[in-house]
Amino acid sequence: MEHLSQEQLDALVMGPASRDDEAVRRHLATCEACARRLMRAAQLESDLYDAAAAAAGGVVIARARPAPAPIWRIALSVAAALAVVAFGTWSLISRERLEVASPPARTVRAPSPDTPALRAPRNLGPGAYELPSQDVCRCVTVELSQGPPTDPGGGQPCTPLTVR
Amino acid sequence: MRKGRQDRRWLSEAEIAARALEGQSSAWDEIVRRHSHRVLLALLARGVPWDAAHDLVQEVWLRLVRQQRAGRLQSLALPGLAIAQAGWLAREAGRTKRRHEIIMSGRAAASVTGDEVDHDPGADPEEQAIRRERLDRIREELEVCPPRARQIFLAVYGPEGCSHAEAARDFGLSVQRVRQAVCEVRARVRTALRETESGD
Repeated sequence: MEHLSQEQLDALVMGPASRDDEAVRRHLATCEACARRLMRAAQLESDLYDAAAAAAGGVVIARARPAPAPIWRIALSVAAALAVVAFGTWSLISRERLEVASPPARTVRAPSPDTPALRAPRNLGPGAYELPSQDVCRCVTVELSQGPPTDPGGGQPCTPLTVR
Repeated sequence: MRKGRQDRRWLSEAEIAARALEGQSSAWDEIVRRHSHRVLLALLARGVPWDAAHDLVQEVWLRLVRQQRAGRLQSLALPGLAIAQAGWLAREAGRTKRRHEIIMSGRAAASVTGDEVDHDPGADPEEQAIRRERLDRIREELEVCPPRARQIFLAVYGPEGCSHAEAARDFGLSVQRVRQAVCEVRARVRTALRETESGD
């Protein structure tokens, strides 16, 4: 008899093995090469079972759903989440209001006629006097100095206009 | 899909094991039906000759039933316990065979040497690592299989261990188509393993 084909070996290790095939039995008992091939095929088949068991084990775990949590626990979680959301929303709204709100209204009196800013610019106050236009120094000198400002004219009115 | 399994009551491994530990013979029959093939494969993979492997499978179940009846079986984790029992019996058979060969002028058996049968593949860390790599490679290949073929393969090779006829009924396919799908997956896995081993 020739060596067993791969199909024959597969049939031996795959299905419920039958011991009826006398020719195969005799060949396996005398052919070391086919016995080794059968050993390898059986090893593969055994590994396939182990790998499938592991893969199916994952499926079982995926199917197995945990026991439903008690209603009160779910309600408590939802209530806590709602409380957090509500507090956060309230905080944001309050902060925006503080930033946008106008200053609080105050009761003010009508300004008196003596209020300086409300008088006409040329309307001097009582006791004031106005220098003649020729005595007005329109010359402005700006110097970068560390000391206090000094009078360059020594107290005399400056007539020429100098620009530095 | 999978209507057949839903129609009839499918006892889990734990349920069957519990009934077998109580001594129900129908539970033992179911256990033998489900796991004998796995035990046989484990023996063949160790290099136990074909006929001797079949005999050892029967011996494994007889011993387990005897242990249960004697009250020495506290738990029943299958197929692991049966495979371990079979491995122990194979080693014992290997030692007996070698002693016999030594006595009878050491004429070698035709198939596999006694050293290989006596060798315990589960005890060697290096072989365990190699086996883990093989299993990882198989799992990777299963992940990239066509989904339908993968489902059929897992139904046949998974814990439920459907026969091809049962899988065909459950998936609404012919037995021939189921067998073809399983063979395709096996061929893919075999090729992937061969490539991995030749790459090493």
